[in-house]
Parts: sequence; structure tokens; C-alpha cells
Amino acid sequence: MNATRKSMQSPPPGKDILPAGLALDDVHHAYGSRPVIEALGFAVAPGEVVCLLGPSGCGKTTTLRLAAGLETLQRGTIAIASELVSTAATTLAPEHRRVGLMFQDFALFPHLNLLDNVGFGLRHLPQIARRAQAMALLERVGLGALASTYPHALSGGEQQRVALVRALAPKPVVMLLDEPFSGLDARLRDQVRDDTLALLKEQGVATLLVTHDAEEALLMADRIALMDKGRLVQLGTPEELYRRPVNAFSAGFFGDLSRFQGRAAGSAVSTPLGLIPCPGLADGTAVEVCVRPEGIKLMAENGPVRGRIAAVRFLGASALLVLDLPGGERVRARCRASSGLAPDREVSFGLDLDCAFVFPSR
Amino acid sequence: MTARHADAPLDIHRLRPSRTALRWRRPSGLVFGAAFLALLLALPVFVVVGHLFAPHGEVWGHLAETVLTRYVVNTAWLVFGVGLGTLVLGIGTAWLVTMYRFPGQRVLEWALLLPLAAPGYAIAYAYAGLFDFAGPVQSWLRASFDWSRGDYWFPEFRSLGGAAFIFTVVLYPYVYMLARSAFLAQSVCALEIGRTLGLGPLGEFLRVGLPLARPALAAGVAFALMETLSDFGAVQHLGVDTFTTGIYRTWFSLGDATAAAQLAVVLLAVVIALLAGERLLRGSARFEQTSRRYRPLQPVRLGGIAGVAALVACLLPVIFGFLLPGGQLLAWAIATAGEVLDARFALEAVRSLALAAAAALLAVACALVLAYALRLRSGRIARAAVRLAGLGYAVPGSVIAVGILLPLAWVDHGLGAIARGVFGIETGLIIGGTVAALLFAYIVRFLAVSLNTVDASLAKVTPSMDSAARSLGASPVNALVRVHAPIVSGGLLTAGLLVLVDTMKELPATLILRPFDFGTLSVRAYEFASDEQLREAAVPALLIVAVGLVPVAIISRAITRSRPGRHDGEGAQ
Repeated sequence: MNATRKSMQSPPPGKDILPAGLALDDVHHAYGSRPVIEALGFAVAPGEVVCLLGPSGCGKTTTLRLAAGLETLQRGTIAIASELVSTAATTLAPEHRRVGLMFQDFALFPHLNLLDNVGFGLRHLPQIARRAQAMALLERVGLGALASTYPHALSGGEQQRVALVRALAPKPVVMLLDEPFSGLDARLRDQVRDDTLALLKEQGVATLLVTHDAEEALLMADRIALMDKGRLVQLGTPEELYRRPVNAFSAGFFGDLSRFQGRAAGSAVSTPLGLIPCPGLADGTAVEVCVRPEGIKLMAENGPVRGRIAAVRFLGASALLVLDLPGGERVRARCRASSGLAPDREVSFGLDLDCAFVFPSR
Repeated sequence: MTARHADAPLDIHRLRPSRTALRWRRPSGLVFGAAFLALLLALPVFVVVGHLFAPHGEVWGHLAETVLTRYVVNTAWLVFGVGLGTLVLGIGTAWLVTMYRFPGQRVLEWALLLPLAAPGYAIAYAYAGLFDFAGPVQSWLRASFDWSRGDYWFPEFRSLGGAAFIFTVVLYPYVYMLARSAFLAQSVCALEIGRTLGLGPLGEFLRVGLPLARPALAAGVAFALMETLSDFGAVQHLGVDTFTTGIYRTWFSLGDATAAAQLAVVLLAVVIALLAGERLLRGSARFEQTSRRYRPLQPVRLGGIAGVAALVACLLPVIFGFLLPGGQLLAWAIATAGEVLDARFALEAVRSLALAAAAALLAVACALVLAYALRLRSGRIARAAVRLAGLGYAVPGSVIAVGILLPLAWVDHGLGAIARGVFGIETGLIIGGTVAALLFAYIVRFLAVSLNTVDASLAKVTPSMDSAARSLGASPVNALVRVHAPIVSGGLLTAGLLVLVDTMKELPATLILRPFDFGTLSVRAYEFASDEQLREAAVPALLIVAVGLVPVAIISRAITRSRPGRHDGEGAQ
């Protein structure tokens, strides 16, 4: 242990006590000369689910592979269970890391039946104990009766459950899930998500889940790590990310936005929807105002703003409106569906300031 | 020690230095091993190419003056004739069998592959005997029409034309095979669109079917021509001087290794030109399948005269490529089996099989190392190594043999000099002319066969299965044993069988490299034929043909299975 410690290049100062789950610090990674991850750092506590969210190509899968030890770290550190597992100088092989991995294609071994698939990671146990544990896990997800069947005979949802318990069987410290639900059809997905979340929480494992689906992240995550172009944009609870986005990218990732350009004047910016406060921005700063559709509140009469309905989309319980404003701008609104909404109708509405964000223009 | 205990702390002692500077992933030893292996396997080719720059000796000057032109002209005619012939036969039969239904079509689908089972020299022996002056055909003609020698004209099979005919009927299945799978793979939509745009059946064939299949056709002809160029037994027997016979003669009669290697370089240049031509023809075209939606072809039913005509057209290549010469071999074999089958023959048969099995085992092992290295680290080095190692298949056996014998001779000379100087003893050959050299030649020659098959079956193990196995506590070697091996074992068996059969058929490299007085089935057939004992040559030749039927069965199964839109039951849902 000591020798290994010494051989490592200067452990980061002040980080002598490493977190118990998964911790990444100052991680950089490049493929050739193309950087894919820059200065990335966050931690996942035991029992916590962190969703790594971002558009495709933002480096989230690479982050996951680095955590699993499938890629060699180039700069920074990664720790699991309070031990450094990756530095620029040393790498602990994936098989020694105590991580569980789950993929979009589930990667079940086609030549093994379900029991042997789940028992694959339990090689250190004698056969009887291994079979018993694997069986218990299969029963836990309701697949005990299929223990001797082979993966190709299963539905997508069943394969997903097998892959999940297979990864959980060796009691990993960290679970890494790469788009684990995108291979499933929409009808099944909600149920599978709930079941998965319950099982992960029950095992108390630190979970890092990679997804490009904002709704999925909001649904699953204790905290969301939003990434863009290899950098961490914002880290926080789903509510924090939704209510207090740090920039236009973060705000736009969780839904449609109507955008207006303006200039700060007296800690506020004037928009077609009225004055919106922007404390802390110097006068004359060019700003972008982003408004979520649900921030537009239709009012029966004398709302502060008037407009005309240009288009209506009914989405069941709610409706999406496109409103023409007197100045020629357009704004999108989401409201409760009612029979009175029809194109060309004049409406009046107000703005919920909690759903309007002001960012300095770039 | 690799077991990971569920509740044990992280085994931090297993931290390994990571080589970030080179960006090698951990099992780089394997990659280096693979690169070394590939270099070793490419060595014979390098040795031969190196002789391009060796000083030209007297023998070379003699060769250039006397026979070189003949070699070039003969080779050119063979390439032209066989290229055209295989193309016509292969495309024609493939189109008929794929697009139409006629009596016998189902049987012909696989029967058209049968000529692949026989090595060219076996068929050449059969034809030479059949159409000889003393052979059954001419004897019958003379008896029926009361002719005698000189009264009639009869095509001479021991000629360039005869060789071209034999290669065409034996090698057209390469074109047929690839053309057929290309036609099958084409979405019927593309063909139907062609019809709605006003093309008739012929127009459909010429303007849609054929252009779409062009890459496959180029590959098929290239295969057939590579076999033609590397043939030794057939051209030797038919008295057609080509580079392979020239290399053999220069080596054994004139004893000039350098000149033989220089002939080999010229032959190699022809092969490279051929491969370049194939690349060029294929171009950037990767349009084997134009549409993601696949609907099975609706073949047109041919009845009456048209059906019979199609049947005859497809039957003729099978008759000339397999049934007729095969029948002749069988008749001879039955007649001579009593004398030929003795203890020596049994020894040679067993030896052939053992040698081929060893070559198959080694080739599959090498292919596994290379393919796995490529998977773990598909960097430029690994990819170049694999391509390099696969080179041998395009290189004629006699060229490889020369490329192996030369360095071995240097080593033996060196060792001999040391032995003389130090111990005062004469060693003679130590490595040259051993079974080891022979096995090495087989691996160099046939590695590509196993590499393709092994690679394809490794592809069934998705990268995420690799990662999953690793994260579940399996080391790379452990994952290879527990995940890869069981999934790919069927593919490995196929790869081994293909190499085994190719090795048993192989003649020129075996002739040149075999230890003194070391016979195999192919050598035995060659020796009988050289002594004009064609009837006796039939027994070993027929045995080789029988073994050759195995890969034909494998290939014909693979073709029907590879049809897109066919579910093999492996996919979920």
C-alpha cells in the first residue's frame, strides 16, 4: 500500500479523506488532440443517484468509461470507496474496482442462461452459494421462473432486469449505467425506471447514470450533473437545475424557451412581456431573457400583456400556444387545455417571474 | 487471486502504472505480441521483395533472354481467359439461380459450388487423361468412325487454352458465390423500382443488378485469378510455362535461389496489380445493400423450354467442373485402388491429415491473438499488423516457399559455419527442410482464411460484453476463456476446418519445403502424375476432393444464413 501511494504523483492537497462512493477530481481527457473532457469534478455518495446529462458527444460516456477503468486517465484523479483508483500514473483494472456496469444493449452473455449470467461475477463463491445468491436476485426482480432460459428468449424489459441484477450481484460500491433505458419501448420505460430506482436505493450503491434525456434525469436523479462540450455546466438537484439554471444552455436543456434580447437598465431589463429584474448586472449589459412556456399565465381579462393566438397544439391535459405579441415577437405558452383556445383569438396574460431567466449575452 | 470478494475492500495493490504517454491500454503486451507475430508472418514476403534489389546473376540474365517473355505472355493470357470465363459463368449462373425458379434450381444452388472442392491439379489430371490420345474420348471416336492418328483434329488439352478452360470451370464458383450473395443482399425494392422506371428483365440485370453487384464481382474474379496465379500442379502437368513452374525449375534444376526469388518478385507484382485492380473496381462503392428495408426476392418461375434451358446452362459448369473429371477420377481410383493403397499410402494420408490439423490449430491460434489484439486496441499498429498478416493469402505458395527457404538457408549456413569452426562437424540442414518450416509456410499462406472467420465470430461478442465481463471481476484472459471462447467456438471450428482443407490441397509450397522423402497426399498425386501414372494419381486426388467437400458444405450453409431479413433466433424480441 505504502509503495503504491508513494509512487503516485502528489495526491491532491486537502483531499486526504476521499469520499466513500465515487469521486472525480479535475479530470481531463482527450482523444488524440481533441479534448473530450475538461476539468470535470463531482462526487456520488453511497445510496445517491447522480445523472450525467448532456447532448450526445459531450463526453458523458467517456466519463463513465473512465470511472469504470475502461479508459486510462490522462489527468486528474478518480476515487472509489475512499481509495484512488485512477491517476495519470496508475490505473486499477476494471475487474478490481468494485464497479457494476450496465449498458444500453444490456450485454447479456448469449451462451449462459439467466442464472449463470447473474452468477458470472460471483466466481469467488462455491457453486451452491453462487447459485443461491443468483437465484435470490432473479426472484427479487420476478424472473426466478426463467432462471434456466437463455437471454435471447427474453423481452427487452426482462433483459434489462437481468442485466441490472447481474451488475449488482457482486455488491459493487459504484453502479455505472450507460443509457440503460433507451433500448426499451416507451410504454415499458416508466415502470422499469421505477423498479430500477427502487433496487438501486435498496442496495445503497453510489449510482452514476448517463442519459441524454432531460425528463429521465429529472425523474431518476438525486442530483444532476449537466455537461456540455466536455465541461460540467451545472451540478445540483433536479429542482435547482430547473428553477435556477446557470446559463441559457442549462435552462434550454429542460424544455422549450422563448428568448428575447435586451439591455440591463437599473437592475432590470425591458421585454415585450414587461420589466424583468436582473439584480447584479451592470447597466448596459447585453442580456438574453429566457422564458419557459409555463411561465406565461393566461388571464381572463386585463392581464398586463395582450396577444393573439397564432397556433394551438393540444397535448391532452395541457395545450401549447404560440402567441403573437403587439410588437411582432412571438412567445410560447403552456396552459391548461380549454375549449376557448382557438387561433386568432385575442388573449391577455401575465408572466411568472420564477420561469423567466436573465443571462448576459455571449 | 483474481476473485473479488464481495465485501472485501478495494484491492488497491493491484494499481498498475498506466502508460498515458503512449496511450496504450493495459494489455499492450498482447498488442506487441500480435505486431511481432504479424511481422514474422509477413517476413517471407519481405524477403522476396528484398530480392528486387539484389544483383542480377547470370541465371537471371539467361532467364530473361529465354523464358521470361513466355512466362509473362502465358500468365497474361491465363489471367485474361480465366477472368472473362469465370465472370461469364459465375454471373450467369448466379443470376439464373437467384432470380428464377426452374426444375433443379434448389439443388443447383449448392451444386454450383462443387468445383471448389477439387484442387486445379486434380481436375487437370482427369482432363488430361480423358482427352488424351489414348484416353477414352479419342479412343471412342477412333473406334466409332474408324479413324486413326492424324485423320482428325482434336483440341489439345495440354495447352494454354486447356489450362484456361480448366481454371475457368474449377474457379468460377468464387464469382458465383459472391455474385449470388450480392444479388440476394440487394433489396428487392431497388430492382422493382428499376422495373417501374421502364426496364425489362434484361435491362434490370444490366442496369441495376450488375452495377450493384460490381464490388462483389471484382472480389470474386480477384479470388479466382489469385488461385490461377498460384497454381503449380495444373500448369506443370499441362506443360504451360508460368511463373510458378519457372520458380520451381529455377530453384531445383538451376539451383539459383536469387533468380528464383526474382521470378517470385515479378509474380508478386502481378498479384499486387491484381489486388490494386480489384480495389479500383470496387472503388469507394460500398453499396452491397442499398436499402435498410429488405423484402425477399420473388423469383420468376420458368417453365417449358426456358426452364430446361436454364437448367442446362447451370448444369454444364457443374458437369465440366466437377462431375465429369470427378467421375473419371473415381473410375481410375476404383481400378487402381488395389495397387495404390498400401502401408506407405496410409502413412502419407495420416501424415497429410496430421500436418493439416497442426497447421489449422496454429493458424486459428494466431488468428485469435491477432483478432483479439485488434479488439482490445484497434489502433493503427494493431490494424496494420492484422492487414500485414493477412497478406499471405494473396501470395502464391511457391513465392512464400522461396521467401521462407532463403532466410532459413542463411540461418543454417550460419549455424553450420559455427559448428564447423567450433566443433569441427558438418551439420547440413538444421531448420530448412523441416516440418516446422512447412507448417510456417501453411500458416503464412492460410492465416487470412482463419483470420476472417475468427474475426467475424469475435464480432458476435459486443464490446459492451467485454466491459461487462471485466466489471464483473474477469481479467482479460479470464474474459477470453469464459465469454469469448464459448461464444466463438463454433466459428473457430469452421476456421480450423477451412485451413485444414486448404492445407491438404496445397502443392507447390509443400513440394519445395518438405523434408527429404516426406510425402503427403498432394505430393503423392503430383508424383504419380509426373510419372504419367495418371490412373494411380486418382486415389490421392480423389481423397483430397472428398476432404474439399467439407468447406463447400460450410460455405453453402453460410450463404443461406447470411441472407438479410432472416432471423436466426439470436435477436431479442
